[in-house]
Amino acid sequence: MINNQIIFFERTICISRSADGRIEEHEKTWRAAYRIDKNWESYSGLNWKEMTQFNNLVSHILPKGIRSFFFFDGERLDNFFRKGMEYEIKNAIMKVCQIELLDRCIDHLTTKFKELQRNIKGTTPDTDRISKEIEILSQSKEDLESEIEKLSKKIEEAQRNKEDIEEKLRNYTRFNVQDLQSERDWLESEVDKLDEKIGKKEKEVKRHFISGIIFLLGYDALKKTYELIDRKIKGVDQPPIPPDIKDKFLKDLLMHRRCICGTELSEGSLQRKAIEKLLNSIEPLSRISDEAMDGYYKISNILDEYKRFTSKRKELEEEYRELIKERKEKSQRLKEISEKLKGIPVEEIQNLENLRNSFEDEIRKCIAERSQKELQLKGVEDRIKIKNKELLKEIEKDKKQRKLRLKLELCEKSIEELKNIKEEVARSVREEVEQKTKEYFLTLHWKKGAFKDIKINDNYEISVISRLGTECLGTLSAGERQILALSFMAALSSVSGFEAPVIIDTPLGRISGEPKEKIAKSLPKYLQKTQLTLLITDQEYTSTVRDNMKERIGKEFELRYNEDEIATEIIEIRGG
Amino acid sequence: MVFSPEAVIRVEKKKREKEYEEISNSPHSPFRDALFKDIFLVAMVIGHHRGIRSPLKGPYHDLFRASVLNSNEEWLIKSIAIAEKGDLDVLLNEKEVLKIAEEYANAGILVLYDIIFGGAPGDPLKRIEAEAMEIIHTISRSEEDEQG
Repeated sequence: MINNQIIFFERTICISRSADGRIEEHEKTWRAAYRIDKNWESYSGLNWKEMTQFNNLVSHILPKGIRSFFFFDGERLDNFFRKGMEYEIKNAIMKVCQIELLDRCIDHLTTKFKELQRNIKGTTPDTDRISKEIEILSQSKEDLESEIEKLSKKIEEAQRNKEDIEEKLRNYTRFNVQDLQSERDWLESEVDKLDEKIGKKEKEVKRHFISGIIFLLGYDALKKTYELIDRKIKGVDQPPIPPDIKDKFLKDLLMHRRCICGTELSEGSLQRKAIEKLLNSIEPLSRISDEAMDGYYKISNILDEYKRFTSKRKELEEEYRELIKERKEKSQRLKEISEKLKGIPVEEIQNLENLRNSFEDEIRKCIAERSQKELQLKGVEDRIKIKNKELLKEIEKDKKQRKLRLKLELCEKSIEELKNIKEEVARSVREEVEQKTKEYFLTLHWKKGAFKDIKINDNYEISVISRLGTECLGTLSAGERQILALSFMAALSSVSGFEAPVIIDTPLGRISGEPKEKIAKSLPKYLQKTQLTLLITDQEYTSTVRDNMKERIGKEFELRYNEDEIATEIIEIRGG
Repeated sequence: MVFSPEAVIRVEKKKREKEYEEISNSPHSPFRDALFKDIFLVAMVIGHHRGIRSPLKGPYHDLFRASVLNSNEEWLIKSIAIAEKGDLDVLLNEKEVLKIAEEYANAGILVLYDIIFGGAPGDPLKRIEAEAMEIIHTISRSEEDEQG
């Protein structure tokens, strides 16, 4: 109540059901308002007076887009690092970048660019045709982008669903299901690693081929140069390398006008001319002598190296084939595991496995479709670029359109630059989040020295690197994943630059036993210069947890539901 | 002589926009995503191997700085100039060394483009490799002769 006015807080959420039955959340809002008619003389919606100052104040402290990194649900944090959440990680990092302004600028300039293109009419016979082609291509670009986005969301959802099923199988202790699922987890991670190795090997084979071909086709020239230098070194060709007489020695004789035998070397004398002639012939050789010697050894190495081109190529191809073979074997074992699971006489397991396989098929199908669309998009983008150039050339023909051409060029270059800036900002924020996540994770984790790095790659996939240098995100325990998620959220809030308090709902909700106590021990080290509010249930807040955290607890409240008054009371347990 | 920092490798602007662009970007090209530097060197050695060289016609495009070449690549370019001139003195003239390389690449890029996109059946890499295989056999034969 402020100034005898009762203030009402209203929160709304707008949802809809999509054609395939999914619930989609569109908008969340909140507002503070009071009634103009204090006694609610009518129920008219017009009698509300909104108090925008609250919204403005909160927005000033913490903009809407990044609030979720300050007020978050601990129970759902674990979801962040499951397969298929790269989009969510990217989304979170993009929000922290606060690059909406750049996005708006790019959108505005793109609209302007299209508008300008539409205004080009009849400049030359070809302008209308090219403009029309660009319009059609731009439309297909937009369609393809939207299809790619839809497919990406579909893939992520299918990956989450698949992961949910696997989690159920991991916890199923009967009929060896747990072991089969563990083996599958390991095999899948191995197949991922193999795919990475195969990709690298493919590049290595190609790289070796290109560099090899360059030197093999240049072999004749290299050999000829080698032989030429060789003859000079051996003195077969004169003057030799390095020259028998140093040019400095001859220059000194000429400067002092006297030979070492005592003969005077006066201007124009025959003796002087003979020395000058000798100097002219060896001076250039002296200047390139060191270089030629260097080249002699380099070329010798190149010739030796590329004699082994075929055998090295065979060796690389053999390594590539071995990797493919290993992958095939592991894939075969994965199929066998799936068949075994389907053969278990428990309907639930059979259904789960069938469902999992259908999600896996969907993922595969969507990934293939997305790759195809991405390829098409690249082609369309390239064609747009070419057409834009053609259009500018056409406009150049008409001097009256000079201003328009300049505007188009400016728009195009600005869009390009803004996109580069956006990418650069996102990259640098991603690196900062990566660094901070690593710092927090290594500080919070109770196994000191067990992990050495955390990486967020260009595709926003996160990896946790063990002390031995292996990727181990997939094998983290629930408690470790919670620590990772808390570290990631802390990194996001810290990188955002806003110094707002952080609230975590049920921070230990999914954690049991020992890890819970370990996390509780680590929590006082978490976000040390930030006011931290934990909304914690009695199940989470055991006496050990409380003891482990007490050093950093300023105030403690209990929310107690009063059944008589149908209200929740806030009781202070411990004051600061 | 390491190439000077300001030395650049040039190509014809038209060829940069068509042949180099398509060779490095087309999904049908085995050189997709390869560096322009590598495509240039392949074009140069193909040109040299086939003995075709053509002067550049303007406008030009600066493809890359010569200083990005590693020492092996640098010596390949120099060797082509030395082999061409039959004399080491060409090393004193950096411009001439680069000009010879540019002219071989200028002719070679059209051959490379034709190998990739000319519509001949089979893998383009295998065709380039076949060209190099003759050299490999020559090398092996000469090695055997030397040994005895």
